Amino acid sequence: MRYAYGDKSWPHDENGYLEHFESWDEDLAAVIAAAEDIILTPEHWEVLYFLRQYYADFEIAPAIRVLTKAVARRLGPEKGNEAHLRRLFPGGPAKQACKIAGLPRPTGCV
Amino acid sequence: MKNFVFVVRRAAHGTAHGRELAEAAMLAGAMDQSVAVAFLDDGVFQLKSGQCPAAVGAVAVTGPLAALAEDGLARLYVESESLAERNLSAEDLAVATQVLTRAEMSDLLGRADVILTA
Repeated sequence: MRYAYGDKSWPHDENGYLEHFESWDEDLAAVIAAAEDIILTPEHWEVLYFLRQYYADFEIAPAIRVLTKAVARRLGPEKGNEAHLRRLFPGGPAKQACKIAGLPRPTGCV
Repeated sequence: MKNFVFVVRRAAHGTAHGRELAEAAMLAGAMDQSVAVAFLDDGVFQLKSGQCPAAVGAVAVTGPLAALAEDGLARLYVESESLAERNLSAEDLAVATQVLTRAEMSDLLGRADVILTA
């Protein structure tokens, strides 16, 4: 199973999570977001790049409550709250945002 | 709020126990519980710097532990006697961890409402 854009393609798992974290780029993010019915705004990109950095630093895809706390600590409480993140990613802030950011499925996510 | 202590007594990567305990501690911390993670016996090897888990198809333990500590989700403790018995010291550890004596560790465990071991 692969995502495709132009002459590029990226393998993903059975739930749509990217196989290779480092192969991600912004074209891919747009492809996955479109499949999830999301139009990416600067606010979305901020969360996506936050998640990419978090995973690069800590090698773990954060569950929703972990993500909320981490965003609040680093970007401030107006960004790090569940309502804001749910507005951006209605399919579940951790689950959906991790998928678009090219991370594995978050821990504790069913 | 309950006082959780997660106790790790085995080295990393032979099993996924360390990683799974770190993930569980992370979730408990995110649920606003009081969480400590204690490394005893061979568990101290989980913290050792210079690990390369991908080489054996395993996932990192020190990364999630660093996230726990940085985001204030849990406090990390390591037992000084366990380190000394394995010829290790605090400088060998990849993650900033508070060193406790065996007696202090036993106080920590004595104060816990819930103890989970791996």
